[in-house]
Amino acid sequence: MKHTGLPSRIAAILISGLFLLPLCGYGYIDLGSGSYIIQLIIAGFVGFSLSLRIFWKKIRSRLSKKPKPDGTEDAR
Amino acid sequence: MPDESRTLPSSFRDPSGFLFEREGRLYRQVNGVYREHYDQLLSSGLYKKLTEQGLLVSHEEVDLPPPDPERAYKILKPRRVPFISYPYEWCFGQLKDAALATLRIQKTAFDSGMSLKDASAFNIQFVDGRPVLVDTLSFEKLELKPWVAYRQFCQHFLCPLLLVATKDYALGLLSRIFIDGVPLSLTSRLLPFRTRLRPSLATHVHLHALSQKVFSEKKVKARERKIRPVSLAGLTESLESAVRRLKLPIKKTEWSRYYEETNYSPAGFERKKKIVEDFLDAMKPETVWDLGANTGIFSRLASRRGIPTVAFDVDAVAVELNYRECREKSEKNLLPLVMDLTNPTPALGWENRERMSLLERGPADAVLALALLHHLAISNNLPFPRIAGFLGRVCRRLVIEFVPKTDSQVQRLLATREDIFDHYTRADFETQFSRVFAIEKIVPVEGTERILYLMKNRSSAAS
Repeated sequence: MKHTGLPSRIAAILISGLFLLPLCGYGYIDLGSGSYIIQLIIAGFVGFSLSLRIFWKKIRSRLSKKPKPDGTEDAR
Repeated sequence: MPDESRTLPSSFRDPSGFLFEREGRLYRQVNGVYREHYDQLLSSGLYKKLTEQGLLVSHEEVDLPPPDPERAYKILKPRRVPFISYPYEWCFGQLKDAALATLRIQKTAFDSGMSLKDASAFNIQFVDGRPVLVDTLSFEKLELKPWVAYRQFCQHFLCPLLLVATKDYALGLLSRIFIDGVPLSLTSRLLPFRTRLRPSLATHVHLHALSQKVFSEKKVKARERKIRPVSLAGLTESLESAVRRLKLPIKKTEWSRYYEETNYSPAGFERKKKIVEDFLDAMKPETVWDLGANTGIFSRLASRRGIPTVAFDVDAVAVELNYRECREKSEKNLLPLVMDLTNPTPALGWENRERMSLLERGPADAVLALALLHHLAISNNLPFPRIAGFLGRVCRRLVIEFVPKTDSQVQRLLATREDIFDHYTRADFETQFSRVFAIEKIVPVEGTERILYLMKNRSSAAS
């Protein structure tokens, strides 16, 4: 019988509550349940951080736009 | 079904199609089940974009009777790769470049509404000095689901790269044992603690391994979770940044400074180069293997003549330095590879037929075996007939250097051991090699005790 440590079991219970495991595979290789779960977690974080970066970039580009001499903004 | 065509033994996993050979030419059958994905690869412009960027091998559609007509949609004739190499023969820099190329392909595919459905390092080959995806059927329509090849990417690329960068060059050979990628659990156990402090490595490797362990046998009702495009892009970026930050510390090894510590005078070294050049010009080989190439000084005499050249060396650092020079100078005809000639790459995988041995990938038109003989004969106790036998199987023509016992390099090898090599003489060398090769030219390297030979294989099998 396999023994997993307490932290592993706590992690399992917590994460199982967040995600229901997929049994279906995509394509011809098996992603595996463990890789599926961790990918969702990582993708959530990095996706959020990337969204923030994109948002921040947009804000900065708007703020750095110089008004045209006639006082109108670039239409783009 | 099939006929005179031969399906490649490595091409059986993906139901999208398979590779086959017919009349010595390589083709790929695209199966009907893959039709919509293949059509999108072309209609979206992704194929054009990737081939123009040199990231995907080009092909032409041909009108040939398919080997498996019931399943066939198209037959492709891909550009042939000059020499098939495997991840366990690559140095760190090559594996890293292959990983980055895979991620770049994935990012480019996103823009065309597609994604890689596998990320096997075996799908990458080095063509014109650059990593290229050779599996045209690796793409599928993008669905907002977790990346199916994520684990494969980590095991094929991230794990071996990390192990080599943080522990030891020799761990690159783990890819030879685990041909489906180095297991995450093993990698996590072997890596130093400091890797747990870097968020990208902590997640992609350590937590990934833990997650696999915890959820390996869990069976819960399936509920497909969608994943936002920005999250998929973020995942790819995160992997890319993790790979990009990995650096290989160059340590001094036995071979990496070989040329600096050799007993050749600069003039003697130049004379040796001139003799090798003359031999190459006389042979005009179509392919060259340089055995014991070190950092590739002599390999370049061949590759700069436009001859596709493979530079083998046992020392991963020497191969790394060689590859870096190839990259810096955009050299197209030289492929440096890690190879222990006393234990060359065996055939691996299912039925021992999925991945070819070194010998199966030969023979080369010509082999350079310079300053190699004494290492094989004295350091590895290999008798001349066995060395000649091996070389007779890998080449048609041979340029070989005889280094006599009085040479300081041979004396160095004998310094710590008993001299049991009574047969290590020029006369015995010529006698034994003459059984396999016809000696065509003998040129002493002026100013040294060394002699260069040009030989021709007597066997018709190698010609």
